[in-house]
Amino acid sequence: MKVNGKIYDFNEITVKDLLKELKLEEGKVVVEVDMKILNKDTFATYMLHGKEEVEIVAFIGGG
Amino acid sequence: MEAFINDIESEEIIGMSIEQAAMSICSREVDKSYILIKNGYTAHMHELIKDGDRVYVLNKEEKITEEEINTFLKARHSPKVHESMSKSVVGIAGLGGLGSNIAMNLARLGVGKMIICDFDIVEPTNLNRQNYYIEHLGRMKTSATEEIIHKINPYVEIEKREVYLDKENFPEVFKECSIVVEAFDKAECKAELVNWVLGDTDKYIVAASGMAGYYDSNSIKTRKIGERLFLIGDGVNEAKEFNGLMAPRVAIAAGHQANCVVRIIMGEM
Repeated sequence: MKVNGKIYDFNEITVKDLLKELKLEEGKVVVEVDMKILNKDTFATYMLHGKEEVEIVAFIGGG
Repeated sequence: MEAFINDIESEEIIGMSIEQAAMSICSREVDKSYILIKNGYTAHMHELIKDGDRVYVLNKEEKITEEEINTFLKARHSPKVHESMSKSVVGIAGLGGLGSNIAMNLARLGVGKMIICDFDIVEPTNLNRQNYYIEHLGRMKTSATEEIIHKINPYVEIEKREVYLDKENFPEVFKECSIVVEAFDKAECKAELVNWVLGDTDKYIVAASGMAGYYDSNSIKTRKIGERLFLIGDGVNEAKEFNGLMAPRVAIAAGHQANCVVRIIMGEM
């Protein structure tokens, strides 16, 4: 699957676990799967099968 | 052959004194309470106007009129840009380093209405980057920002919301806005607002992520992500101890965000 344009060898993984693998905090991200925004409440149950294009914006504090 | 008085173009004022031109074109009787400027220098009322001269006659004691401000803005930005800006309603979530500077920029641009939101007061540690003065210490940021905006352009409509924003009140607070500017401090709040705008609305969101320190200015960029999210920052430099937020890069990020708002309004994004 592609995450932010890079190819990763993940499949059959929930969004929650993907974020854990990428060391990203659930509360600090916006996740889009195949151009659709994913609700945070579904991270634990949304299954990625391996062919998706995922965009993750991880916010940095400060402003 | 043409000259300008208060940005109004006129051929007939060539050869007139500033005093005569002020009466003829602006119906103003110039006296000691007026500031007179000709071609960037202070002038006297009896000076004669020549071809190409730019003259301003402003009464120190009277509030500048809405018509005058709009004339100046149309002359600087073009009537087309000014019309679009003056019809826009922009929400600003947070009035810290980013929000206070963005609000000031949008006021100078003549945006029609701003919904400005912050629950906080101005503190001494804010002064290193936030657009406040010593006289504002202890005051609500919403009220201080409104005051500063109205000292720049008294005709920008301001709605103040002194609330801690979250997904429960985003819909009500920002219902009138076509563009929301994310100017929060905490990463969780940024994510919450952006998720709401993208997931539940048709609005545009101009967000910021990463602008601490005095790293290279050129690392701060504007990125379009999808159709409605614009992300400004270097994406890397988090505000933390010994890597704090400093005025120049915060202003650069704020400038990016304000310019992004203009570009969205003008259909460039």
